[in-house]
Amino acid sequence: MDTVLELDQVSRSYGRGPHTVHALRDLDARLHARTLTAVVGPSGSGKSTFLQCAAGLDRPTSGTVRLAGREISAMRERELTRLRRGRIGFVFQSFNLLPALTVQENVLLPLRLDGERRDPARARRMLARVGLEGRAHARPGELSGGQQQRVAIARALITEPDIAFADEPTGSLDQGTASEVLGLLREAVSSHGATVVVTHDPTVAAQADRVLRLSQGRLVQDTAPRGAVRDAAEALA
Amino acid sequence: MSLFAPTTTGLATASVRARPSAFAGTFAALVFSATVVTACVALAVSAAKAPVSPKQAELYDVGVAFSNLTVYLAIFVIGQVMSLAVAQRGRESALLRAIGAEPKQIRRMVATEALWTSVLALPVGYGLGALLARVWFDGMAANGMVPDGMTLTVGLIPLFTTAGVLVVCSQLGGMIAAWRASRTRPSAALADSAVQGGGRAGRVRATAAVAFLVGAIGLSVAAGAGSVEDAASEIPVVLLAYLVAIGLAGPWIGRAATAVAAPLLRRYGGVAGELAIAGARARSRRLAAAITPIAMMTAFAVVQFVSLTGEMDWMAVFGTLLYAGFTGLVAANTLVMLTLERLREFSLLRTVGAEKRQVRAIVVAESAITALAGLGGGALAAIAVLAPLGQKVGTPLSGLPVWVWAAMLVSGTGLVLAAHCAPLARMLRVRPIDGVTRRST
Repeated sequence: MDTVLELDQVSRSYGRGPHTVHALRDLDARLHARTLTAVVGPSGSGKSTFLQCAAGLDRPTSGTVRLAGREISAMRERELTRLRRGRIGFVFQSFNLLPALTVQENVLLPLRLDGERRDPARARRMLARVGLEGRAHARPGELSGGQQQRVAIARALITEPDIAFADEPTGSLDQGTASEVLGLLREAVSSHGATVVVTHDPTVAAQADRVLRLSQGRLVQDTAPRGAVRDAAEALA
Repeated sequence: MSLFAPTTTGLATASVRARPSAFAGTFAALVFSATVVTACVALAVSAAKAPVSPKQAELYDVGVAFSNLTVYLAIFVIGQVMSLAVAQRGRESALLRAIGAEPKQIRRMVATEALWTSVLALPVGYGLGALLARVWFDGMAANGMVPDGMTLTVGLIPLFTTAGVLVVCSQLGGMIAAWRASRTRPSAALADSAVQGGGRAGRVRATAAVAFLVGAIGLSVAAGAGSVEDAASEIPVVLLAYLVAIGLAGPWIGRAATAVAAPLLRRYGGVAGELAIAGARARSRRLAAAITPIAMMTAFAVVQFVSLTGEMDWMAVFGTLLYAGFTGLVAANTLVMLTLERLREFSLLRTVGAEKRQVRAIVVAESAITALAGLGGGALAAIAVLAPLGQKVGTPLSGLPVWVWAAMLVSGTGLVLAAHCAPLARMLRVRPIDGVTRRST
């Protein structure tokens, strides 16, 4: 399988001396294309730091991070920004959208920042994929929480990124809406690179191809629930 | 109930901590106001105490005129900055409402905070004002303008006047702003998708704007019919009436300026221009808060420079520097406050892939819209006052050379740009992911 993201002996610590906090310790992980990976663990286990280092939003104290074969842990800020714009998608728990822009403008933002021409047809196709046909000219304030998350997913995927990161994307949604949003993230995996979801939610983790469990900054478990179910089904057949 | 009820004081302290930049902005505006009021009143009082002579009488009149105008300006400035500071904390007060604070408690919280800010700003402003009065007095002495037997004494009268202006204005300004804040539904202000300063400007605001405009026109007609001396002393008052109208009409002026600038920004501004247009349209109330002090600065600069074409003595030059300095500082302070509240927005843009220079370009494009609206509004106000009255008081508008207009345009735009962008360097050093999750600065 193609490796999209490669973390090699990644450590991240904050502070110095006796007060040093080790958010990540010597973490190794390889994530493959067309997989949905869930990163789980209790609060303070290093989930968010993992996401930030993997996505180039933070620099590891030691170790290397490679995205699609390029080492991002050594990149300069400007190079990283361009990479984020074109090769990485983000979905946060909340405050994903610029309230002053319409849905369509929000979705097209990464492309526009990259200097591409405005392409409303492309935005409409993407919005149709996330089930928001006809809402292109609405403003975020006119949408429900679930709809706003869908717009965020549409924006994360519009550049056809190598990898999309979602930080508690269902954290502020009800169960029904949460499973719809998760469904979209799963579907996305079949069309683009990899998706990484940081989550507290066991139902989200259960839908992942692979689950990385962190505790005190270390990777303590690496399982494949869906693979396991599939293997079991094949064994029974 | 006492104003210092423990819960209210606690809430006020928490509110200051939640948004230190709004507090700092209010504090700075109060200090600037206290400085100019103290200096002008000190001069008037010192002149009054000097032995009677024609020179003394003239200086006393000038001192009183300066004092009146600075007090009016201070009222206007403090009202503005208080309303902005309260509006910037809309989220926090909505949260307090949501957990059960009554509108009355929010209003009391604002009042407590305004009072404490005044109490802290007073000694600083008084000290700076005493210093300014000394510089002023020494300058006059060097130019032989000090009447025989006059000495500079700052003393208690300027202190009490300044204290009164600070406390009364900040309480009134806070009351009006808090009344508006306490009427908004908590759910609306708490929503993440709410635009900062995006509330629709209402009919009350439009009506008040028209009323002040009509009042200003009426005042200038009355001044035109009266004596030359009266007309001269009424010019600043008429100007202030126009400025209040501009402040009230700010959201509509902002919209008009955006419409004028939009084709150019779209054509040459790229994605930054587009984002600036969208932002200016959505945040019309905040745009209004930026326009008003710039208009004030411009209007007073134009009127002062025109008056210099009549007589250019030391006093007139000093007056021009005083008003240009004061209004310029107030405008810059407001623009800094407005940029500082947008850390989340800039950080979100950066996580989506905006480079630092693109964020800067957006703010520059917005500055262009703000400068157009503020400088344009201010110049129009000055023209509206001087076109009918300038000739009468001996300083017609036509006396102002074109190069002075050009210099004002360039320096005004430069100030807007510099102040708008000043906090960016620090804000862009915050890691984007931290900025998105952080609620305030």
